Amino acid sequence: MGDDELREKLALWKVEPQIPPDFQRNVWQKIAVGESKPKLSRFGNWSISWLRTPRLASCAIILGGLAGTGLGLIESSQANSRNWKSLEAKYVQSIDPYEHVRTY
Amino acid sequence: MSNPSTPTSMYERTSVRYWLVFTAIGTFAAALIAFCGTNFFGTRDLREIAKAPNGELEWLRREFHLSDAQFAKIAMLHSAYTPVCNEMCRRIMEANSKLDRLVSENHEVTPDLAAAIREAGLVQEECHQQMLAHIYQVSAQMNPADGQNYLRLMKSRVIQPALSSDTAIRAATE
Repeated sequence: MGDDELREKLALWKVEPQIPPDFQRNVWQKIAVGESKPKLSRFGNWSISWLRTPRLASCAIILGGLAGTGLGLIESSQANSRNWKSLEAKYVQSIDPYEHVRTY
Repeated sequence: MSNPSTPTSMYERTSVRYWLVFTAIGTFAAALIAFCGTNFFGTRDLREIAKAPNGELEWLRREFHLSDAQFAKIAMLHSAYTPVCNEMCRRIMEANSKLDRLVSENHEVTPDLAAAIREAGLVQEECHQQMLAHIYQVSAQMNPADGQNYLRLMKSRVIQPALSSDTAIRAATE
């Protein structure tokens, strides 16, 4: 089959799509069903409206509080260790005359 | 046609921004309050001990698990030893000042300088003896295991094999 022949045949070819009468209704129904299902929150698929829920604020505040408590515990433990060492040094100083002289 | 769940209006965008700002500030404030609170209450006990006039004895009580009776005896020994320690401190300073002066004034070992060296050595020896006697008295009041720990700690902190008298000379002349 030559190119000209093919072109003629293609020109004669007519597509007549037949859309079912309730096609549009079905599409909207499927959309409605999809939206009614609980969405799995996947990264990048979040609805921006979720960001304004108090739940986000509560979670973030609780996490912030926990992080602060954790850091506070670490810091207080280090401060206690320093204070303990300084008390030990104070005791040694109180019984060692050379330590007295050093701190004069 | 628009999806009703998508915020498009100015009001909704402002609302999202408000929540984000509120969340950020709230999180920071919660973290800060928790950090300061934990740190404050976690260190309060030791801060109070450190500020107390006899904080070092309180340290001794806790570190070596002293009972009230043991603590009372050790506190008494400590009170009795304090003037002795102060007197030794004064003598060390005096002896080392004298030694420092004579070392600076002379260019050879004169009898005076030799006597000052001997005197500084004697003071140092006496200090060690007095201090060690006190350490033994204190450890004797403790439970055997704690007493051993106390001796070990004091040996590493106080009874140093190469005690530098230069430190004392510097402190005395400064």
